[in-house]
Amino acid sequence: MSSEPIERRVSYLGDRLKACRCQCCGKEYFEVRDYCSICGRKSYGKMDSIDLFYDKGKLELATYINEPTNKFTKLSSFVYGIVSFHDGKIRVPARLTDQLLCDGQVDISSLEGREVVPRFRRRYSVGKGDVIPTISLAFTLADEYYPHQEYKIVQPTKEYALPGIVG
Amino acid sequence: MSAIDTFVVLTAGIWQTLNRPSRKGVMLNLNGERILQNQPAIVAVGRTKFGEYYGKEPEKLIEEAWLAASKECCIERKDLEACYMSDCLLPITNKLGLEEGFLSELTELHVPMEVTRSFSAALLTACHAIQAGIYNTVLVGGIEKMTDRWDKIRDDLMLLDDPWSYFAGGTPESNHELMLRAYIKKHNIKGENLDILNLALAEIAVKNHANAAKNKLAQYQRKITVEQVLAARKQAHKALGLYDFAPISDGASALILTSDVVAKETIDNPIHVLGIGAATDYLNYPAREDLSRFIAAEHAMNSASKMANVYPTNMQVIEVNDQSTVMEMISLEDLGFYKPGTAWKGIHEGLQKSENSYSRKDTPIYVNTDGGLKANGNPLGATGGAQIFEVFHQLRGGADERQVQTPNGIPKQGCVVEFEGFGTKAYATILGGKTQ
Repeated sequence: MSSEPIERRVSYLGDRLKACRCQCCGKEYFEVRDYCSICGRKSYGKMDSIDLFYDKGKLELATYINEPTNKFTKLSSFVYGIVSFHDGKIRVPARLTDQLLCDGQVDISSLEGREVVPRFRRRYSVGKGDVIPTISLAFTLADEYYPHQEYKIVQPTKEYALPGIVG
Repeated sequence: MSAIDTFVVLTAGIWQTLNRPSRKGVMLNLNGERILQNQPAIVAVGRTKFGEYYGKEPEKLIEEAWLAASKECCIERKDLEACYMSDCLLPITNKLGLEEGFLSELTELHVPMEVTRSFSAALLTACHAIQAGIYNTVLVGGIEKMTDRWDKIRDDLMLLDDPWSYFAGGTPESNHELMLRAYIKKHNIKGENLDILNLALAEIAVKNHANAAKNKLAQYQRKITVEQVLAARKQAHKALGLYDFAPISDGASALILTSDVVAKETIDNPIHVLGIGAATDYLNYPAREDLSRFIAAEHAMNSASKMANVYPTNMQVIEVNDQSTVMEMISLEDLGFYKPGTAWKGIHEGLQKSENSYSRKDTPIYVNTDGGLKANGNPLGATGGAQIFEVFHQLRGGADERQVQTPNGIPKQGCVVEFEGFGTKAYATILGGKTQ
């Protein structure tokens, strides 16, 4: 089992789905890298940081887990698979949350090819002062209940909406 | 350029020429490919029965395997010049940080000892040392005691195999299921063909159990039926069920590797390591380019067959790393026995005709004659040793009931493929009689 420093590092990347893209060749990587493994030294400092958290992914492959590892015992059973972003340029392991399945009633392979949206979920509550452990790489199907909202930065239109010193 | 500068450049040139590595010692075959000199030979193999040993210390297991190997030939512990040991999880399962130390205590030897993660990795290192002419007799051993941490072993396995998948909720079984889905999608297998594919996978498990029933050292020495395999899948509501996966095992294996000269003096027909190769792939399975095959296995086999100067398809005894039935099927394609997307046909056809062989262009191939990881057991560090144990006995005609007979007598060459993780590292070894 992992320790707190590992959990923190993993959630830094996994919860936000941080990725990067090489400016030279355009190759994309899940996790943050300082250089591209194809371009090598010349790509140093030329890696764009990209955030997949506001993107829409595609569930490429899916399977059903009903005997999870100790870390996920509380979840009991869930759909697990591989999600791809940007037409398969990045693939990440994924778990579908909020997808209740009765054993054997749903054909898991019918979920393959559907669009999914990254989600942020708390794993369990701890004491007030503690770090809240979250779970990485959680997704939901992009349907009517959980539509995909495009990420836009909206500039304030009115003067009083601008940030400033108050009082 | 001044006279002094010219002198400096000239001297540097001469110095470089003098220090250029000499090509004199490298032996090349007629095609100009590099071949093994000091061809390493296996003179003895030994292993324990694989299973669940709650009452045994890991030391006892490796001792048992070493004694079994030592008994076969006249090599005593004092003849050993180095030891190469493999274990994948021993530091985690048994909290042993320096395995070499306890091996030294056990053998009362103070020779160089190294630890690797898989048996084939230990064998590769030992082969390099013998080829380089550093040692003449070395011990290669493997051990694993997975049941000492049976409640947490699935987490450990997954965290080591593929950390990101573990953090996303994956289990050691899920990657195999996803690979099967990727395979079906890539080769567009539908309807009746999909049923045959699923049946072929079930038949692999049945075949492995039938082979293990003849193997006294196997973990599961009982036969199973296709119905049982299919029922287990239905119960799990998944494409793969209980009978599709290798178990968690304890066990140890050992072999004695010597140089050609020592082997001749020790036993009559030693089995030579004709070729050995290794390759690596990404740790993160979803990030790999092709999800429906193990590219590392292909690279490892290519380099091993180039070194041995044989075609892998000429071999009839094959030991593949069947952590699941899917892995056995896909490995056969990666090694070149079948074209991509067709292995299931050959497997199904072969097992309809005979109990333990697959058909490939009307010639039978014998895969995992000892029961494979599925039924023989899969103690990670010792698995490769058991695979080599089987091929060693098959090539020497000493595999008892399991002995493979080809039209030309006993098989002459065999190969072993071992993985570390989920295809992250692959090792291919080609064994056979001396070629030169």
